[in-house]
Amino acid sequence: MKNRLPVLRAERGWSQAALAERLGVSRQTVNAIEKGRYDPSLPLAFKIAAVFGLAIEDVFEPEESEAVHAERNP
Amino acid sequence: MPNETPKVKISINGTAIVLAVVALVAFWAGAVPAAWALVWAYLVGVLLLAVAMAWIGMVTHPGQVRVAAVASETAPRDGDGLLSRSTRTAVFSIWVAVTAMAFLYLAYSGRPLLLLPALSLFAVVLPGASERLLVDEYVRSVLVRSSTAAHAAGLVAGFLVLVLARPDALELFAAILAVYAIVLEWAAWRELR
Repeated sequence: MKNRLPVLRAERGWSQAALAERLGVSRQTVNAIEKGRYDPSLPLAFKIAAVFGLAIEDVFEPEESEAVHAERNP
Repeated sequence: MPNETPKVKISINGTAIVLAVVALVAFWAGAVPAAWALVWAYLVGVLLLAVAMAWIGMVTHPGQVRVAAVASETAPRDGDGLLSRSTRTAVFSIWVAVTAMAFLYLAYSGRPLLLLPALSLFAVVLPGASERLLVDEYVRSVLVRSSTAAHAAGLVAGFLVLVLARPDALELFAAILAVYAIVLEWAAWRELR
C-alpha cells in the first residue's frame, strides 16, 4: 500500500516524532509506514487520516497490483 | 474507535539494587561470589525479558499501547530532569561494564563458555538499543518476529553447545540465554533503528 504520509507531514512541518505523538504510536511505526515496510491496521489508518483532516483514500492508495487484483475479484 | 488507549508501564529498573547487593557480597565474601551474583542477576534478568516478550506477543491487541522500559535508563522520560537522566545512564553503564567484567573474570577462571553472555552485553551499546519502547501494533509485530527468531536461535545454540562443549547445567543455561539475548536485540534493532 502506498501512502502520502511524508508529503502531508512535510506540508505541516511535523517531524516523525511529532506525528507519532499525535497518533499515540512510536516514531518507529511512523517511519515503517512511510518507508512502506508496514501497512497499518484499519483503526490506525483512520486515525492517521483524521489527524490530517482527510479521507482515508486521500492518504493511502493500493499498489497497482493490488488494485488490479481487486478489480478482477470484486 | 476508543479515544483513550490503555497504557501499562512495564519498568524493570533494579540495576542500582543489584550493584549494591553485589558490592556487599564482594565486601563480605570476595570477588568470585560477587561475580556469580552478577551472573545470576543477568540470567534472571534475561529470563524475565523473555517472559515479557512472550507476554507482549500473547496479550497486546492492535490499538493497545504499552510503554516498555526494559532498558530505559538512557532514555528521557516526561518530567525527568537532566540530572536524573545522567544518573540513570551512569548507573546503567556501570552495571553493563561490571557485569561484562564478571563474565570475563569467570571465563578466564575456567568457564570459557561464559564469554557468550559477555558478548551479549555488547548489543546493549547498539544505537537506540536502550531507547524507551512504545509497544504499539508495529513494534509488537517486530518483537514477536524477533523473539521467535531468538527462541529458535537459543534452542539451536543450546543443542550445539551441549554436543560440542559438554557444559554443565549453568553454562548451558547461560549460553542459551546469551544467544537468545543477542539475537533478540540484533533482530529488533535491525528493524526499529
